[in-house]
Amino acid sequence: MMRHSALLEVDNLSVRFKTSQGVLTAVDGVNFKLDKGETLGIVGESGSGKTVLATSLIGLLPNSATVTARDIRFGGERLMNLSNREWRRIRGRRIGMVFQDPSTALNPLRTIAAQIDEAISIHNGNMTSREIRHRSIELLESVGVLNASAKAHEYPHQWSGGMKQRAIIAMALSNSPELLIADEPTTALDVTIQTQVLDLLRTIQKERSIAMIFISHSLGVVGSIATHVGVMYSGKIVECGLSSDVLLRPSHPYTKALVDCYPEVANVGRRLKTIEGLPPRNFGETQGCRFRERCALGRDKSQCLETDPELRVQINGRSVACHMSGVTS
Amino acid sequence: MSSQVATTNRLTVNNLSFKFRTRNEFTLRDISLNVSTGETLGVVGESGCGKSTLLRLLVGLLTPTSGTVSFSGNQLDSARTRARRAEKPAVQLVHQDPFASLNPRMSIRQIIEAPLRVNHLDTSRPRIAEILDMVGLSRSVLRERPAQLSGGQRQRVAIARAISLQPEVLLLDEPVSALDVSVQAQVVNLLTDLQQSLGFACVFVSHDLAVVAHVAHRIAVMYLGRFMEVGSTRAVLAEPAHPYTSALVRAVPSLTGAGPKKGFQSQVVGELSGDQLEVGCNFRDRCWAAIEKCADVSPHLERLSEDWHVACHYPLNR
Amino acid sequence: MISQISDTRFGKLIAPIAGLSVWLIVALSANWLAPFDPFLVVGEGLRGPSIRHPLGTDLIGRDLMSGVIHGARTSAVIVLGVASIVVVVAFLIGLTSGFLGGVVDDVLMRVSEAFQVVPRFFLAIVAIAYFGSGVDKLIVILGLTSWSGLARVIRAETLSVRESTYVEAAQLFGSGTLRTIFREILPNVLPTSSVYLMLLLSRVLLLEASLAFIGLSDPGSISWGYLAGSSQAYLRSAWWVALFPGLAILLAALCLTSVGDALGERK
Repeated sequence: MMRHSALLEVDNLSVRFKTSQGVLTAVDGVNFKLDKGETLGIVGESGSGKTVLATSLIGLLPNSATVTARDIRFGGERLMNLSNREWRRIRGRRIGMVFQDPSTALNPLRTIAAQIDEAISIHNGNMTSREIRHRSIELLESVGVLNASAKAHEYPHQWSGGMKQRAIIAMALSNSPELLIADEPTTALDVTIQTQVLDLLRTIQKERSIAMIFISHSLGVVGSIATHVGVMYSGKIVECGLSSDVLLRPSHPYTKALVDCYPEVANVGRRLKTIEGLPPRNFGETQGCRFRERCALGRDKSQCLETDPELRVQINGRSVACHMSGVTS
Repeated sequence: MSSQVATTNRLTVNNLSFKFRTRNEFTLRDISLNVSTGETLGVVGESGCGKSTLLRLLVGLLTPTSGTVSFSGNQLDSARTRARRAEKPAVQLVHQDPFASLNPRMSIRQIIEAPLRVNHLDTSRPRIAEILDMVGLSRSVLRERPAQLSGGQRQRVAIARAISLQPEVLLLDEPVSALDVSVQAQVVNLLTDLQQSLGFACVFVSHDLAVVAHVAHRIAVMYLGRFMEVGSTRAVLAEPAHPYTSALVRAVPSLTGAGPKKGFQSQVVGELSGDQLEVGCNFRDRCWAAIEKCADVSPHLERLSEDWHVACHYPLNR
Repeated sequence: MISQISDTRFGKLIAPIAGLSVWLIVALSANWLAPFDPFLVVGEGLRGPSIRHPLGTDLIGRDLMSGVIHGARTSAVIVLGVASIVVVVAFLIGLTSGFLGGVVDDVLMRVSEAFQVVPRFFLAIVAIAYFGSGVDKLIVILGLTSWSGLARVIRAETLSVRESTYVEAAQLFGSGTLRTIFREILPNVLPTSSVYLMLLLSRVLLLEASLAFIGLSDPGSISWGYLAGSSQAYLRSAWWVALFPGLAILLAALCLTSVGDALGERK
């Protein structure tokens, strides 16, 4: 991932919210690079900041959010402090988005075809409506909707969850974006439909050489689609690297613990391992490592208590933010 | 997992069928099952298979169209009848959404005391403390309201409420689906421990095959209102007999298998049609192993071996 | 900091609750607080505010301040009286209707509609003409004509709360009908209903003031509306006879609606 001028470069991105209970640091100093054809899977539980991270990259955070970063570059362009007009040029055109709940992302009062038409026409003022409609049907066919020309005239409530998500993906791809951001796109779907949609995303990425950021709470889902994985905890990336590396040979205690408590069909009858304690609340300033209290290794270590570990690159290309990395538990 | 000799059958369901008044098709057809003391039956299926409806029938909120549900030999009354008769319920249900299942305007103490009071049971401090200990909650939560607790804590409160009545059968409707995976593990282990110490029979409904694998002794796979395969979890998941079970198993993302799932065979095509067919197997349109007979004759659960039944004309490991 | 507090439900309640407390205290201590008997002629007619009569005197020379103080008592009695009737009837009917549904619901709702369609003002006039205008009769009349709107709100809330998972959970551990309605459903119906109730009470206050203004109040008690109404003809020159009672009505109604607003505030 350490390539020269990657498609997306994020340097020290932080997002803070002003709330009645104080300043909430949802994302804290996140760095990563992403290139064409790569998929970065961002994994985390509640409070990890993964959704806020995704939303900050497309400028859809509420006004109470403050986004700071040393730099955010997308295809050479700065993605910081953009005006609404500049965002509109990028959103939906150079960056496509797919969110979790297909029902809320679609307008129940308009046909699917009309909505895809709109996604296209916003960025293509010079196309005729017939051309646009033709393109919409094409897109639906390319995402695996059977009998697209007839079904496109139906309303969202007539489509199943999996089909709606395909429609959303079609809309996201309508203007040939370079980057696709998907936030839990398969979480609301049945598991057999999930495999179909994941297959679809993989195919699309291969054909079009798109970069993808795939956010999920599920290690397994991320493992099946991402080339690289970033594990988030309490607003920080605590481990980052090739997905096979991170998921099969985790370095950070949190990643290890997450992998350990992941339920597997193959482990029939085995007792699940757990992580003690509760997920973090990211209010105010904290000292030391955020995971320390729940960490078997660092709970009593003074270094973990005093200093927040930096994300450091290791020899094999992986980054870990841990004072204890290299120590076997 | 050993064969259990002389254990008490706590829950018996015989040929249960159910149709909502407002719908044309049956939501459940010919469901039969047995669960004994200390045993967990996992019911697995995707959306629309009828698993939640099954639970509502088991707990008396719905009345079967045909078939029977009995607890330790006594036929189930509707929930209303039970309340009228003021009998301590033999079956309790833990709902999926721990936020919705707790009254937002009551304190945790009130929530835990309520079922005890209604059934004229001990509500003294030591008893409440005992219940809290069983589910791993500290005394300090008693003062709080549901909104102040985390998802995992709320689910523990819901479980506490259910087991405080010492039910013979505990039904769980996707109890960990709304929780983070680390919290999910805590709650799953809690349920296993509680079952060992309290000995209730348990029906664990979930769409998550991996979670069910860890918690259920036996498993029943549902599709469009029917059981497709029922057997010991180990046997069924290791070598599924029904094509649908096989597809489900292959579809679960695993950490150990790197990369995309291979082989057309493992993929289920198309969507749930939602239509129950009078004739033939409901699954045939999406099944890669379908033969002619599948369109003409409805398969019934047939014995494959001791404690393994499959509803398929062409099981995978025949 | 002040804006942070005043934006909360608690913050918004402070002022109107203070106002309502003042009203209540004045009402309770009217006999001691008022300098004069409000019915007695104690000064010259239509004199403006002075040291002896801080709020002035009315047409026939009665002290206006004493009048306003005693008016507070009358309004308080009427509002509280109507509130008692309305709360009992509306909650009983609304909860029963919403929870039981079916035939019971249909019957009760038709009954409430019958009460709702009648224009209260005119019904009150007719009723007063027939039964007389005593405070007790007024309370009953206003109470009977005001409960139906609240009952519908309560019924609607009950219908939605009834479908909640926690209500189902309660039925599953054996909670009977009565307990379910009063321990599980009612506390969750109260927030929205209280808002509506406060608004309803402020309308009752205004309705009573209007009736009193046209002379239909209890002749044995002083009412704010009556004070303003009895000196109608001289309002232009003797501004104080309208201003002070009017201000009292305004402030009282405002306190009631503000409590309603505050209760509707999220957190």
